[in-house]
Amino acid sequence: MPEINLVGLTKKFGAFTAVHPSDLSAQNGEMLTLLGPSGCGKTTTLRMVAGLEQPTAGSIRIGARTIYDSSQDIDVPSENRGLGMVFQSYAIWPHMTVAENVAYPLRMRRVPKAQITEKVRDVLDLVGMAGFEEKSATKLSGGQQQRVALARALVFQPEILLLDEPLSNLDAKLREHMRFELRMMQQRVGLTALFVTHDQEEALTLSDRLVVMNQGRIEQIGTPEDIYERPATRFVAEFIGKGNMIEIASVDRAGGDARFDLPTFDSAVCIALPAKNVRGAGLQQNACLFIRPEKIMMGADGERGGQNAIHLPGRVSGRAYSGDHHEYLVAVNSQTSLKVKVAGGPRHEVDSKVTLAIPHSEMVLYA
Amino acid sequence: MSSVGQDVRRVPRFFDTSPPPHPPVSWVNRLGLKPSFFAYLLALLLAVLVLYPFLVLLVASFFTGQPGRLGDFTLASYETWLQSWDLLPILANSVIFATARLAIGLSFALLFAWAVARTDVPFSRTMHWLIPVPFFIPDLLTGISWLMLGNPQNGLINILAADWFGIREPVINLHGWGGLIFHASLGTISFMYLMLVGFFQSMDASYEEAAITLGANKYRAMFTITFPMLTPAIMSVSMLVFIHGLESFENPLLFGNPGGVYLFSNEIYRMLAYRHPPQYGAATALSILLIVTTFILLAVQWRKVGGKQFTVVTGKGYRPGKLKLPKSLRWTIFGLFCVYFMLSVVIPVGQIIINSFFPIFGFYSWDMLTLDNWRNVFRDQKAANGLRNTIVFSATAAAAVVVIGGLVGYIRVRTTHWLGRYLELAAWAPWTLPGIVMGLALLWAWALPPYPFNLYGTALVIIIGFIVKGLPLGTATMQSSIHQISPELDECSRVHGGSWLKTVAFIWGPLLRRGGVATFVIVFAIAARDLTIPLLLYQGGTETLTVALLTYYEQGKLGVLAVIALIQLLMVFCLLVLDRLVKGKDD
Repeated sequence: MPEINLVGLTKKFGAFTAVHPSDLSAQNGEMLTLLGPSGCGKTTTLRMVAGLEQPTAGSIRIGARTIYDSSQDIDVPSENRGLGMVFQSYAIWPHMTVAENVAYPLRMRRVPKAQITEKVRDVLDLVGMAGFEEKSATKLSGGQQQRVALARALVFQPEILLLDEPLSNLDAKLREHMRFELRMMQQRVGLTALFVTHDQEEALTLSDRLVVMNQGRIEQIGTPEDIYERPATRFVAEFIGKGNMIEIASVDRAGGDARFDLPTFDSAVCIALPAKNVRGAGLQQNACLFIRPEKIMMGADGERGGQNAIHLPGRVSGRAYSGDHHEYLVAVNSQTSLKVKVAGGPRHEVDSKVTLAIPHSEMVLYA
Repeated sequence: MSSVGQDVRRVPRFFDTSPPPHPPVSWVNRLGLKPSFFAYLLALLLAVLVLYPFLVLLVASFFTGQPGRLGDFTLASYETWLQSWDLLPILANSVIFATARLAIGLSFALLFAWAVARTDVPFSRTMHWLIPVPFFIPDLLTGISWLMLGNPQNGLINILAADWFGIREPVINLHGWGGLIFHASLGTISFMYLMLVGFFQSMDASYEEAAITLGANKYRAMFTITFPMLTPAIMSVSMLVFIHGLESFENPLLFGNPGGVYLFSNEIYRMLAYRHPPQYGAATALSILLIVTTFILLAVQWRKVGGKQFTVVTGKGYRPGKLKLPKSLRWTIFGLFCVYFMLSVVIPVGQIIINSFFPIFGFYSWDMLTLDNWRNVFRDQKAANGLRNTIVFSATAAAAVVVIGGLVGYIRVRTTHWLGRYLELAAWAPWTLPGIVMGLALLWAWALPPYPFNLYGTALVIIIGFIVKGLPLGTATMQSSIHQISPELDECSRVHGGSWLKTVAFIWGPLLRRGGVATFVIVFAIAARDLTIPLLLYQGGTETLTVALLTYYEQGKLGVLAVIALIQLLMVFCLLVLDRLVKGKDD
């Protein structure tokens, strides 16, 4: 399986820029996920790769083959790009049987009839739809349509598999199940895949690497761990998972470190963060402190939670129980409340006084 | 469904072999034939079909000549109309007629559409199936039939009244305003029902239900929510029906003219057919005045309704609960439907059938029953020509409209080509052109060019006329079928190796079959029932069935006429069955 490279790929719709010049590459056998809110340009990017949308500028290469290059005026038509694609609505043709649907890419490639039958059977077996050949496509359930769509996209051994929110139309249970199936299938076949989704949980569990996009720009590219643990920008931090964002009035950045005060109910806590915990240009205004709720430890009033942590007195203002953990809302001053996620331990009642311990290493300052 | 842990499924062996080659580059791509090529081709075609005749008509209205020869520049044609009072009665008659027809048509169409789609009225499926039937029966046919029954001299009803009850004065007189409005309304109800019922069926019931949970009763919900929400749709349909009223030809010709009521189209026809020499200048100028009136009305409506015209009121495929009506109301509505169906279909068609088996109109007794009319009709050159021509012309035009409408729809719905909206507009524009004006425009337009392009008197010019006439509704029908095909279905074909031509052949073709057949049937029916276009354009040999019908009516040969009418009915019926069969097969 070859790799895929996008260089300076841009899409403008009139005066509106849907995708700003972006560079991306997916390695051999990698599942690369494009993640972002709707309208961030992820689907447009995928459609440009598929040849369904014409880029305004840039180039796309699959292995050594250039399939689009605006400067050289190369634009291989969609049908000659050799891509497999699973669409959001599955796009199962209702006037064909399951076998006819799956055989379509092979027919277009003039594969002999006998081979077609054999390949269709084998690939249906792979996706767990053996024996459904003669079934009318309209009589399938959502999950079955999904499998047929996948079989159709795999049967001609495409160079790249494109997945456009393929799981978003399934119900929650099936979605989780298909997520694993899809991942296993991709790994077993060793496909290079581009996956588009707005569901961050799906993206985190499914991908080798993630590309987080916002307003037509790439915010961060990295492994799921990179993205979740070390969000590069404020947008990524807020978009992925739950988090606390605390506005910081002013930051002192003398000597590389960042020093600032976090007001509490009666005084203020002075925090000093090493440079590696600071992201961004280092402006002194409009800074934000970011902490994941599960990284905050919570104890009774006055309790100390270990070394290398700051301690904030607070009052519990809300509590929600969600099965495997408690979620608390803790007011640390008159304006700021922090979300805290605690698994097990003693229960804290609303209005009780608590102390929060936040390890220095878990705090990130976006400036 | 197998569980995740179960790992019995293997990657097929063929994945280790080399993959099949990429699809060969299609010849359409090698030639650089893109859909945009068709956009330009279509633009050219529509310019020739729609725009060109209209421009020629406009130019010709300033000249003294006649088709084939422009003559000299003059303003006299307009001066005669605008400086005399002659225009006023025509305008007044047309407006009165259009208003009355619309008022009656709209009231009944709304009642039926609402009852069928939203209430538990008895036999609602049957009603839904039968109310559109009159639309498919030509007005000319039911009109002639009603005149056999209700003309003041020898209408059968009047004769029976005289024979049985000794009433010497005619009890019923369909000549004049009464008959005109009565008969025109019958067809209008059917047409407006067809246009409106879909809105009632697809409107999301949760809007109404929300009103009911907030304390409105069912009827109040209907008047405060349902009808207001549908107002834009109702307004658009009403405006079109009103314009068609101004332009009516057949009904005023049959019912109005004997009673001295003339509308625009009749006056235009009278200038051409009953004057010697034909007054081309006056007729052409009057046509332009009618078009201008129409455009003013459309502009007014556009300003009033604006963009709200196409407000989407569709739900999410959710079947609304049906409103329970009191028993008396249910059966009153059903009774009204029965009366409507009797008046618009059973009585006129029955009369035609009976008349086809008797040699002389009005003298019906057992010993006079004969099949002579049926035998004679096939010996009659005019009827035979008419049958052949109607089938050939209508089928050709219908097929052409399916293709043109499909391409316009494709470009409009699936591409962002700048020509898309203009193509749509061009395909829709003939909707506002009355048939007689269209006939006159085509007469001018195709009699003008030099030899190889001079189509004057040929069958082709009538076919062009039918294409133009069928284009608006045909394109709309094709476009709505295309709208129902998810773009992903054809994109999927492209990505997986099908060129756009193969995508059209393997994906679009089969998926559009149903919409294509429906479009074909509608356009065929529109063409087969049309009198106005062939009336001005036919020459010996290119007459259609409708022309033959009118000729026989004017000659009083009512027996043969009845047979021709029945053949035409049979044709329409076959088409409707075809349409049903295709739909049934897909369901």
